[in-house]
Amino acid sequence: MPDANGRAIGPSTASLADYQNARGFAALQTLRGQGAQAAANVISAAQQARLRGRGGAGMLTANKWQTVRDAVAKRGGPAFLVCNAYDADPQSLISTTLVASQPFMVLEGVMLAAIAVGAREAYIYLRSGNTAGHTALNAALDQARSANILSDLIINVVGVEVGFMGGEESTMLEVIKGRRAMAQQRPPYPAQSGLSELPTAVANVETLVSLVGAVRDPAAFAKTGTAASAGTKLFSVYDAAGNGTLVEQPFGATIAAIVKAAGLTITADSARGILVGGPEGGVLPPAQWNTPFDFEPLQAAGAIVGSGTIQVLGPQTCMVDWARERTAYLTHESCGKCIPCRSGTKRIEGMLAGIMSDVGTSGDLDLLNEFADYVPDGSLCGFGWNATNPLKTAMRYYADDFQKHLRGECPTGTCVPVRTHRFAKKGVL
Amino acid sequence: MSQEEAVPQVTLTIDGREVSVPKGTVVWKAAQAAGIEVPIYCYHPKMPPLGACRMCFVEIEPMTPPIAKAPQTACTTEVRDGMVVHTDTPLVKKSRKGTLEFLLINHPLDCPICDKGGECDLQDFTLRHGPGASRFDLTKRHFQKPIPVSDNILLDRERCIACQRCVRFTQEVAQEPGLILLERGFRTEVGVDPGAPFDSIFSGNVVEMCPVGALTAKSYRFMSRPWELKRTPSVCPGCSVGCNVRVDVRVDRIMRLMSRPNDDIDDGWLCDKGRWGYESVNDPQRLRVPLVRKNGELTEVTWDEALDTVATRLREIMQKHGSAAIGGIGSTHTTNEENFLFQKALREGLGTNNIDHYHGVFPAASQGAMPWVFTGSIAGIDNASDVVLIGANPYTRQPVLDLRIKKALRNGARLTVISAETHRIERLATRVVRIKPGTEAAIAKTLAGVVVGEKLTRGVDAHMLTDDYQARFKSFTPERMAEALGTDAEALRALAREVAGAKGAVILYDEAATRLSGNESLAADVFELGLLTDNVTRQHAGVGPLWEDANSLGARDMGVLPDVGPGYQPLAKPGRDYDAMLRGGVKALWVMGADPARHMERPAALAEMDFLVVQEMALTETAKQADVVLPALSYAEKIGSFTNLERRVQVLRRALVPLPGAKADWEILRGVATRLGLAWSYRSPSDVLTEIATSVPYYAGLTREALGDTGARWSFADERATVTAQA
Repeated sequence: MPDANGRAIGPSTASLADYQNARGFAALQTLRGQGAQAAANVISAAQQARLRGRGGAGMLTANKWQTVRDAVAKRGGPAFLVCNAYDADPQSLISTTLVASQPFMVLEGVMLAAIAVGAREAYIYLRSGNTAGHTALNAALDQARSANILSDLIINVVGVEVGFMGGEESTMLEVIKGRRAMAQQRPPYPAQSGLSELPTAVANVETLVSLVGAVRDPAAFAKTGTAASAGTKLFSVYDAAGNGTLVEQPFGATIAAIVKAAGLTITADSARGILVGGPEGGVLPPAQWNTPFDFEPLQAAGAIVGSGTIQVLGPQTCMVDWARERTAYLTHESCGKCIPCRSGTKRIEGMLAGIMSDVGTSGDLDLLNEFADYVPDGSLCGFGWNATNPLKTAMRYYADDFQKHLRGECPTGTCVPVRTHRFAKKGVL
Repeated sequence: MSQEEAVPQVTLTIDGREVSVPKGTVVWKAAQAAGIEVPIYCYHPKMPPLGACRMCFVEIEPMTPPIAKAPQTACTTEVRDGMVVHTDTPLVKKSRKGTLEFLLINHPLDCPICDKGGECDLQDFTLRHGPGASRFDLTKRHFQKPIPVSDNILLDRERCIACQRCVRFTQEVAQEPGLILLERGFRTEVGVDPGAPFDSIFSGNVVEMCPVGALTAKSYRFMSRPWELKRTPSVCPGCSVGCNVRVDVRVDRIMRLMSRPNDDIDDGWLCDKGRWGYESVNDPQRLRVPLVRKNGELTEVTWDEALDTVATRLREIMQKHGSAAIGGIGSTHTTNEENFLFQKALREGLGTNNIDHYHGVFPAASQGAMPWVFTGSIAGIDNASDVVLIGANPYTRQPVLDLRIKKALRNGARLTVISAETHRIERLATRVVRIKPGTEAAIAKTLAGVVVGEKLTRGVDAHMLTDDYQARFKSFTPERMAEALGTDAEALRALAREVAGAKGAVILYDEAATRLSGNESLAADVFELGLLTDNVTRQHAGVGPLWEDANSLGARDMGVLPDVGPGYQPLAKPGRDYDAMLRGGVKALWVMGADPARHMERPAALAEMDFLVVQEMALTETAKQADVVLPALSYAEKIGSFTNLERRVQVLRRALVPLPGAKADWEILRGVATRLGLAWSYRSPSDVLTEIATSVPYYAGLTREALGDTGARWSFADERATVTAQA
């Protein structure tokens, strides 16, 4: 684990001896000596450390796992653990880097979580294209197995490639079950009924890596971060040209500070906005750059923690076009199970294309405003709930861009009308 | 069904109406119970909730929504005590309008030529919940249409609203390779695997389930508007399951059969065999005029002439050769009333007991136990812990039972298939025992032998298991069977142990298997296995045959048998049976709704009889040999009752105007009987049913009213008691 001072991720720990020398598996050994009390101890450490899930929803990890334990106590039988190292956001560097450079820490996190929820079998779920991750993880598993560290926990490494939806927790479970990558209605939540219809804890790999620190020393862990969210967070920071850097900052660091930590210097002249949260994140204008990075302040500002991707949008970004391009991506990635998301994203994309091509009307804005809420309200999973964030923030902070396009001019002079709109007013959906 | 553990009730309020439903019910069902319509597309009461269509939105008060005040889906939300649900708030209305508006962006408005038009959920819900106009004046998406997904079903992808009902039916209910979703997002469409057509005997169900006109049946496509159809509740005549159907008729033709859900029998499903098996009713080749053989040719005559000829000729032969020279073959396709009259006409009018029909081999009724009624119930199969199929293949012969068995498997049952041929359901079986045809009975004896030998009997007095009794199984050891069949002895032992320890084992064999040489005792052997393991009257258990035809059991119950009268009342002087009659045992043969030529090596032998009269809908092989052919009506054109394999008596109603010229079998029988000098005053089959109710045990006190729309397992409790006493 890199240190908490914002330095880029630490040196890769590819050998078991190196990891053990750096206090690796010490927490695990201590817990294994605690017998039946170990599970409660992990959960209480997570509680004391105010550890929140890094996967986007931001639930208190201790609460989530307690729900799994309660479900196990109620219906008996084993629980499952799924570690999400999938990096649904193709821009995210977080899981890929963690799995490739800190495989033992990932394993320790998985084992600690398995103790917490009483899982006998765990899945580490990553993109099949992440060959470095697979190699590192399998090598680490071999070493850990020979050193008899895994105990009787079965760890399966699963590689899949099912697009952005693959990061949604219920979709993830469907894929592991061998079914079509589609989100499932909740309740029942995975904590009650997941794999094999048994209680299943789903945790992001970053959460599990943080868990190792939280269990080693909860008090020290809780010292960084905010009152709501303790510890540090990894970010994939991209400059306007699309070059990404992985940085680590405590929760509560401002957006500006995170961008600065990545070595970028930006001003209101050099950047029109900053996208916070990945494909479903929101764009924040210069006035919002001092927003602290934490779940609640970001929500108020219209952005999300999401995938932890932060991208600087250059001065030549027309926000109408940017929102269209983001929505087009989401339209393509929607699983299509529920109609608000399936048709809503497509329709928003179509209307934005119309406005961008200077054939929009003010009525389109009313409809966009309506759909901005209707799509999240009606959708089945987190994908739909967040799918209109780019649209909402673009309309909220860059209303002028939309007005200019309605008058027939692009605010940055960069928009090229979409082909169908150049020749006909009516687009084919 | 007797006492199940009581499910606690939950009380909630929907639109100010208080409603109590069992715990675990979803809000949609509770609303339905309260008489409030919540529109649905993806939800189907026989499948787990999905939550895909976003049509059933309601607002629920005490819930904490995942994000700021959002509507909830009624089909996925379970009721809780004190829940307050609203189905008519502005938020709900807005959400439903939104869903419909989105669905209609691409849905073609070809309603005037769409089969579903008039009974389309998208039309109906748009009328009741939708926006009056669309805000999207866009060119609609187009696909090539229609594309066939099987020989019988066509898919129109433009109309599909991606509710997934059809996909989930094939995957979760029929559990067969079938329809799947292709592509993703707004491109999502229904289809089949390349090169793998939708191959299922249950395929017609998806047409009926489709809420729009995306899936249509070739047989009904562009044939009718739904409002032109006269809909009559009836019973499928296809097999012995007796699925409830609705016969949809336009003028003088059956247009289609639709399901009429009866959870005790069909669970709301039909098979393709039954659904599309109405061609024989619509067949233009059906007989319309009585035929009498004159100068070697079948010649059209009047009904009076035909009936006079039958009565005269039968009386002549009786006078010349005696009553024993006359025989009758009844039908497994005609009603109870007709079979009752048939045996009555022969016994009382012609004084003969030479009466039989084509059926399996069962022990004589005089021997006590009557193993020919399935002692469990069709619905009880759902919760069986073990299902054993011995020489039975419900998938092709009693298809809807196959879905029941799959439901039991989903509930955790184990399935054993013992058969000489490969059956489709085997891929879901826990165990397959491959045997040689005709060894089914020996297998049943072997299983019973293991149960007795290992002292695993249940509910049997120990003193009954004498040494003599045990010796009966001596030559039927698993090892010996295994050697003879090349199968695994341990598998047979394990199966016997499972059946003996089962919470409830359902053991079924096909009627046809009893006819195989070597299987003469199959019915008795399986029944005995059931008795030894206490699976005869136990809840969720049962043993019995799977009959071939819709009224196989009814024909038997009505006494169309040589050795017993109606209700198995023993006869002093038994007559000749089916084979004996066809082998020249009689000089005159009266055939009602049967085609014995199918079972004869030399059908021409029929023509050599002195007199052959056939009541039939079409000119069958048997009818071609006849001296008199009397045109009969189909099940859809008359009233009466059928008895299914679990002895559920069900009512047939007249759905179709009778074919001009043809008469119902009971009318024909009345005509002949009157001419034979019998004073029959039956005005309709209802009068016959009244007589059955007073004179046939097992049907005592039965009335048409008591049968209602869903039928009843008449006097079944009494018979179970008898079985228990015998055990």
